[in-house]
Order: sequence, then structure tokens, then C-alpha cells
Amino acid sequence: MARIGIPIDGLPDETLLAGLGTGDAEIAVAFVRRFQRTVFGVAVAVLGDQRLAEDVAQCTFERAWRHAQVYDSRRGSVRTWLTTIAHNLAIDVVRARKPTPVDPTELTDMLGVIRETPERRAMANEDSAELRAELALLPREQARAVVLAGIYGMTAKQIAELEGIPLGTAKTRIRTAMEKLRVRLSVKRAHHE
Amino acid sequence: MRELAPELALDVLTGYERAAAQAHLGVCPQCREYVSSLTQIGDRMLTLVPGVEPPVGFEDRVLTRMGLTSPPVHTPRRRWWPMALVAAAAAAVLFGLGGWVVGGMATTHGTPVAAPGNHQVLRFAQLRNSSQRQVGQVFTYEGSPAWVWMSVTTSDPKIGTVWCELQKQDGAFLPIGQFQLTGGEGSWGVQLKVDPSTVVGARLTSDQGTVLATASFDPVYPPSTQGPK
Repeated sequence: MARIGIPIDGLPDETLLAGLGTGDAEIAVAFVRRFQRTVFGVAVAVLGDQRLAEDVAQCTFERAWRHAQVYDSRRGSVRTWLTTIAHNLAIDVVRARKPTPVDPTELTDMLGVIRETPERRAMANEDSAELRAELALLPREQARAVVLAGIYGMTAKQIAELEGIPLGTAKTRIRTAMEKLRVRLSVKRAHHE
Repeated sequence: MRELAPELALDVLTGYERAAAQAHLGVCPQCREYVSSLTQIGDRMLTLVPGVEPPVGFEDRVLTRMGLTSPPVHTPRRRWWPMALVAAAAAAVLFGLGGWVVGGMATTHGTPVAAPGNHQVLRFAQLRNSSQRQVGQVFTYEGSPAWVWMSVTTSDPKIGTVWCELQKQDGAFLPIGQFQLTGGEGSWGVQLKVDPSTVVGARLTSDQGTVLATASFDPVYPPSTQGPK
């Protein structure tokens, strides 16, 4: 068999994850380097604390290494899988730590970052740009609600308290926003297909 | 259920509501699908969060946590992996297989790390039936640990247990295990106790010993070459 190859840092995400399971240190380094910004970014966004975020990020990679064999490419990309692990861990920490997980200023910053701007849209991959654009089309209060729930892991009750609105209104905002995103993204996908 | 689905998908329901929603999902495929579509949106939302560079030394601390040590730095140093490894991942996706890494290896603490400069090779061969139709693929990996992984897609949904044997250079067949096909399809892998470079082929047999498929690996060439001209 010819040994024609590609550099280790050029391997696809799925291949690198598979290699991570072999216990090869070089592959592990390549894997961590590829995803550390993303994983740490999610952890620090949710926790707002660098030290705790590093613990969560380390734990995320450890879990990926232990559970590489259960990754299922049909359920999403490696990046999405990792961010979900990091997010779940961070939310667990935050729920054990403080009753109101987000500073309103942080939320405003986050909303500004994840909603569409021409520059960011150009930089983002197509998949992200699509969702970013749809988030930007939502009324601001719905976008806030869905980001508070989806990124900061806040319950409707916590959102209601933070925003000073009735619980039912908070639930409606989350539900309406998610349904709009689902329908619009489904329509776009169907259109592409 | 439609009212609770978005919060369930974002994992922000509390106690009783979550239990009630999950109980319903257990008996309602339509709602399961609906919640799944919403969950995907929640997952994708996380990819919009801006990346942040972790503190210096982060990757070393992660490796320590995995029981690994950082590989020594050589300059310039780029390890190259065979295209077959890329093909393996592609095959896993093509066959719709989740978790194609060999089970059991991923959880091994303190797995020996290959010495720098080792040429770890992942080899690939097609599994063909008696009509020479491709029914699967076999990969062997010469790293540490060494492993073999295969995927099989036959047109016979009645085939259940299949036995895998590797053929060594002396022609002898070495049984390495068995696995189950479902609807004629399946995948399986195992750590190897033999040197993969001495393996020249593989075959799958049925419970009754009938040969279902065979595969032949190309010879291993020295690392400095790109195979025969």
C-alpha cells in the first residue's frame, strides 16, 4: 500500500477524534489545539470565570477521549458534539454555584456577538451564518430569551425574574423564538435540497 | 407537549415538567422527532459563541489528565497519516456508523505512546464476496495499540453472526473474534495481539464456516517509498 498521506493537522475532525481514541499523544495534541478555543470559549461564556472554565474545558477533552467511540457523526459534527459536552458541564457547574447565572451586561455583549454583522457573517462558516442571520431576525426580546436559555442554561422562571416579566411571557418568548428558528431553518434546508 | 418541547430541547425544564415530557416522548415518535429538531438548533447555537484562547499550558494539562505526556518537539516535525485513515472516517460516515473507533481502546489509561519517528500505518483492504462484489472494508492500524476495524454491508439480511480471521504471511488464518450483522450490516473492531504488518489478508465466515468474504492487503512498503512504480 502506498504511504501517501496528509499531515496530522490536516486530518478531518472525525478522523482526529478516532485517532484520539488510540491514545496517541501527538493526535491528542492536534485534537486539543484544533478545538481548545471553541471549548474554552463556551465554558468561559457560560461561567464567566477563567479558572472554572479551564476545569470544564479540561474535563470536556477528557470526556471526548474516554467516549470517542460513542461519537455518532449522524447526530452532528465533532465541534458541535464537543461544545455540547462543554456546555452541559458548564451549566452543571453554574447551577450548583449561583442562582442567577448571567450578568445582564454579559448578555448584551453576547447578543451583540452572536447576532449578525456583515463582518462576522463573512467570517463564519455557512452553517453558523445561517443561524446567526435567523437569530438577528428575531425580535430582540425573543432573541434574549432564547440565548439566556440556550447558552446560559437559564430556566423560564429565571428569565422571568431577570427580565421582570411574567413566567408565561418568558415561556412564550422561548417557544416562539425556537419555533421560528426551526421553521425558517427547515425551509432553508428544504430549499437547498 | 409542543409547549414544553423548546425548553426540553434546551434542557431548561425543571423536575416535574421534564419527567412528564420525557414520559410522553417515550411513547410518541412525532414529538421525539420534533424535540430532536429543536435540540439541533440549541446545539448549533453554541457554535456561535466566540472562541477564546485558553491559558498557556492548557494542552499539557489536558494531556496529563488523559494520562499522556506531550510528545517531544522536533523542528520541523510533521507526522503524516495515510490517506486510508481519511478513507476510514469517510467510510464510517458513508456507512452511517457512529462510534467507529474500536471500543475499549478509548478508555485505556496510560496507553503506551508510539515512539517519535514510528511510522504508524493504517492499511485498508476491500472485503469481497465470491462474486468479487465489494461487501465491506477492513482497516488495520499499526500504532500502539494496534487494532483492526471493519464494516460489512451485505445484501443478505439473514446473516447474523460472522467470524473474522486474519491471514498471516505463512498463509495461516488466525481467528480474532465474532460480531453480529443486523439487516446484513455491521461494523466491529478489536485490539490486535499480532503485528498488523504481518497480516496479508482477512476473511469473514458464517456460523457454519462458509466463507462470506475475503480481503487482501497490499504489501507494506518502506516508509521512504510511495509504493511500486
